[in-house]
Amino acid sequence: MSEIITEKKELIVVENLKKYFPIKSGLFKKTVKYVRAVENISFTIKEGETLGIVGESGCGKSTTGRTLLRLLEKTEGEVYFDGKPVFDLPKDELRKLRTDMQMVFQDPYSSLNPRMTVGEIVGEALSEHGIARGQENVEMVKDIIEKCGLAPYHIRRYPHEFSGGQRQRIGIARALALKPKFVVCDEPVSALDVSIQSQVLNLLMDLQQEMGLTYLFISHDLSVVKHISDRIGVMYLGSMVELAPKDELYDNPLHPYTQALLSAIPLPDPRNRRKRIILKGDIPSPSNPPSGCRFHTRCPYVMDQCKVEVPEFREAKPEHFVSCHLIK
Amino acid sequence: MGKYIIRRLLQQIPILVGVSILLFAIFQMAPGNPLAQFFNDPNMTAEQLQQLEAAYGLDRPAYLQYFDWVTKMVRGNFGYSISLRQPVSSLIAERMWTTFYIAFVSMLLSLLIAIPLGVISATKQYSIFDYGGTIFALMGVSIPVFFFALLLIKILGVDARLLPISGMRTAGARMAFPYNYLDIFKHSIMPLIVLGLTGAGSFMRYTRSSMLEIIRQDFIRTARAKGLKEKVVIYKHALRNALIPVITLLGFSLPVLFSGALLIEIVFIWPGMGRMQFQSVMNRDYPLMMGINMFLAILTLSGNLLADISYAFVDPRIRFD
Repeated sequence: MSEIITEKKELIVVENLKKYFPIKSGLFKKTVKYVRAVENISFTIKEGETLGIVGESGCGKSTTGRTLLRLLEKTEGEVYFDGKPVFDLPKDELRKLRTDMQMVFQDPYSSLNPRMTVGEIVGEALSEHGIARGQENVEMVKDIIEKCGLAPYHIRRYPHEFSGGQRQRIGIARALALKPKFVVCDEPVSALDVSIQSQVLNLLMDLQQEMGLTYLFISHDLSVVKHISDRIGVMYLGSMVELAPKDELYDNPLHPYTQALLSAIPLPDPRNRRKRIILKGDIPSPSNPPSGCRFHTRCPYVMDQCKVEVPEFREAKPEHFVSCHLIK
Repeated sequence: MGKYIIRRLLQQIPILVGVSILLFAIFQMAPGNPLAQFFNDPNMTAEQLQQLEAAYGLDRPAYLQYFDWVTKMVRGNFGYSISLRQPVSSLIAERMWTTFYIAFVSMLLSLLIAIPLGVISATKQYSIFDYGGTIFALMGVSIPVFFFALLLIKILGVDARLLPISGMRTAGARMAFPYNYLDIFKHSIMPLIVLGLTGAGSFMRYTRSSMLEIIRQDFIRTARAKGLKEKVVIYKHALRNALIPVITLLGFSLPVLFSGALLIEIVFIWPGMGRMQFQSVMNRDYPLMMGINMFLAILTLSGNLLADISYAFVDPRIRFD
């Protein structure tokens, strides 16, 4: 599998991406601090591949996804989409680029405009970008929502008339209507019931096959990410600590945080117990991150070096990146 | 929907009966007498007063007077004004439109100013423009209407002599078709400015806060992700949702449209409902006072009903079955 992937070109290249949110306070709203939501992240995504990103709540997964698509402005770094620097594009060209890069949002309840019908929600971008208008537009919308498992007559209905799973199908249809190359899936199933989750995941995988899509799949659910991804990146407090092909990561995790995270996956058989690695302490605040390695406050193998020196994110084995001083 | 409207209309009947009982009771308990204006008249004999009392039915027990009043009202007869010596219904019909014209046009003016200002204020929150808009809104809300009106009269009417200072028509002038309406319009400019600007303040704040809430919603991010122009995102996706609470506010202001801005009508001597209501109180003209109040009660109820129904049209999530 990996041989085939390496031959493909890199669709997304992220270089040292940083995103800080200012905290303003005081009489004159001076910026006193920054929430360092994303700190120096680099990775690439190859065409047709799914890169999964896992991490706890608030570790910067969603911010990475949004900044990547320039739904948020970056603080530093660069993102290349198909060779084009996303942050250097003027607004007009960025809008055109949106037909190629889309996003499926986390919350299927609040991310659809309540005053628009499904036909308008899915078809609006098509007409705004001049791809299809009038009857042609309606036909294309019917086509895509059918692919996503809805019925053609649903186009006249409003979002509130659907269940959560159906709404997420609308969200997926909306993102795919423009026939994008790259889709960021920001926890697309975490708001859904477990029985619906697998349906939606399989739909996403079927559509990937059919339309040749590239995914960045963000989730906090390790089994979901394992199911859908080719490679997986693990994030902790705004940094990426480990990035490896799926099986390599699950069989041979190098970073202590990844090891702790994987030990927390419940096993289906209650007699078959795994030794859990329990991390001590809480996640530090991203507005005041620890010095050196960000994980050093909770790491069971912490050394003096970890407290002062930021570990480099480097290739420990082929295709297996990790940032930890333990790995030489 | 049809069933819902009919059900709501039927619900209005007991409410109106309650309102009429309350109104009648309050006016019965109020000090003074409908015929007080004749007490000091030296030409009136006690006999004539008794005849008048009998003519207006004031000598009968209160509950009979109430039934009398209500049964007549159901047939469209709101009574007979003692001071103006005309049927109350025709007085209301006559004054209603002059008031409605001022109130309606000034409200349109308010919205025309307030909605764009509110939108820009919200999209550029904490900018100089936002602070400027807020200052404008606070001035509009807090300046006394009569003071602003007098200021305009001094500047535009007396000093610059641009506009007539009071009334609705130029006294004694007989004008042909387009000019008579133009004359009314010229007389109405100053009241419209006062009401339009003072009303714009609160509408602007409503639009701003409603927009601020909406542009932080997830579906706005979805709209941006679609690659829509910022104009489309703000005016199509955000504003259409933000106006829902503003539309409700409009429904509630229906009775205000008709009751008239009392102070404005007094300062500009505009012959509207507000001034008539004021005069009816000063003259202790009971039938007229009660008629106007009943009319406003009906309007308030219809305004609420209209607001509820308009919800169903602007918000597809709301359906009445």
